[in-house]
Amino acid sequence: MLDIPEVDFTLHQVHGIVGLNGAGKTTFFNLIARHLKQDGGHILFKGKAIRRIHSAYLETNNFFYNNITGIEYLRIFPQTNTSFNLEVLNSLFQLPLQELTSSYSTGMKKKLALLAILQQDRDIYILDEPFNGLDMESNKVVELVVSELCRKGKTVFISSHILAPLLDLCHQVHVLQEGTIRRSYSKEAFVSIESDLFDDFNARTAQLVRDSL
Amino acid sequence: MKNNGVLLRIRWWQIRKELQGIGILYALVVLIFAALLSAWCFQQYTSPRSGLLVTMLLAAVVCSIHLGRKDLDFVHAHIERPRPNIYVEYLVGTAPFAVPVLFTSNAYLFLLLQLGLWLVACARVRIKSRASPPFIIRYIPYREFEWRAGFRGGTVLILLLWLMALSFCTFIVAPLVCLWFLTLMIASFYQQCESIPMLWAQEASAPALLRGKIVRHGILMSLISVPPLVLNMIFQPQMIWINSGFLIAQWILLVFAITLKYATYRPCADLRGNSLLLGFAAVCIAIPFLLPVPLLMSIKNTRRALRNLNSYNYD
Repeated sequence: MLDIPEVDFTLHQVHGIVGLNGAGKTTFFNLIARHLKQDGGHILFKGKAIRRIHSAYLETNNFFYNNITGIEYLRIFPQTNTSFNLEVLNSLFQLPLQELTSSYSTGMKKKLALLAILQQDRDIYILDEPFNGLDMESNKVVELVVSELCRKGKTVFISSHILAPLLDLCHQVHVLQEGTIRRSYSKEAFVSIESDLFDDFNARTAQLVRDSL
Repeated sequence: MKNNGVLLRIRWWQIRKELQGIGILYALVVLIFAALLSAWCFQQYTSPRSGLLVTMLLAAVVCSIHLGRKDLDFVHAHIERPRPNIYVEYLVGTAPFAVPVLFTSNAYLFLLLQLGLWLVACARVRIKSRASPPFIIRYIPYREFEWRAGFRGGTVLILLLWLMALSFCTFIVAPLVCLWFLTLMIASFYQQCESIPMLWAQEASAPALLRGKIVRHGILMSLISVPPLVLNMIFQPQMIWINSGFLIAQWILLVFAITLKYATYRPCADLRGNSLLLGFAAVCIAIPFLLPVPLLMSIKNTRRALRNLNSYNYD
């Protein structure tokens, strides 16, 4: 359950969302992307209720219809992003778009889902664990994509269990804990994120590991 | 028999679960219907020619199920004596429609069927989906992903049935039987749910989505069905009204399949549990006085589908 009092996310910036498993990150993203409906409160975008056409969402687990190829999946979605160049991007991702999606690895599915959302021109891009399953080169491409989206004036929400890329990419990092945003860090305060989040945890965990092995 | 009944036990659990899911009323209707079909088979078995046709149809149905079953590798890897198990599964499955022949003078057809079932059970052939599609799929628009996926998964059978319908166009009923099986295959295209992004990439509103899909897919289905039906009407002019009625019946089944899908839609869900209802509707369209049943169910499903789809639309 999420219970977030009033929070403002600055537009045209990259916002990192961090939290432990079960903190509510995916639920938070589902609400913004309108995959879930809130029980109360409002989610506003430029002063009006947010709608699904405002955002494109890269989910953690990517589902593809059985027996269709990568290119068929992409063609289901409207290509509203006029600057999107599939050939060039796919030369970086190296996806076999003529093959069935059922033959794709986890990382390939992630890349295909990312291509599908990038070909849509939206104001907000939500990337839930975009680095999961990707090789190092693809991770770099994703980082460059996020930077480029921000440069084009888009707002990006990104979550990751790995803090380092978030600290490089994000303008703000928000800590989600027990269904609420506990704290937001601006870029100047990033140096203290890791110690705030993990100092106590590291101390307790190190002792437990020493005691158990 | 103990070692040959493993698959039967699994199927019994599955059928029991499906019957529980569809409720006692539908279950009774299905059972009554199976009894009627069994009686019809008995009537056909009294004539050698029609009996042979029914026997071949039964074998063809079992063959198509066998070619499309996804658990074949698992069965061969993990079940002791897989071929006898599969044979017994098919024997019991066809028994209500095959056993009646034993009470006629054409009882040899039962042995013929068993031979066919054994050959099918021994076959370890799986038709895998190929990424590179036959030329047909290239003419199906990308937005009709159910059809592209369905054709890719069943290209051989679809082509076979269509060619059989064309080949039998000089006969009276045979092309309709082939097209009936083809329509059943098309109805099976709607047993998988797309994700929410895919759902709303299609149309902005639920009524537009349903309406557009029914019209576009109905046209695709008609493009397949009309040539054999027209040819049949050329050779058998008296079939004009029956064939026209059959085309309407096909549309009813298609509408039923689409509305049922969206009435039970859940993101990314597998809807193979609807196969019993689809099969029931398919049988209803083959019997004229039962035609109103899937039509009425489609009307009910349409309302449910609109309500269900709107529950995923928060805009």
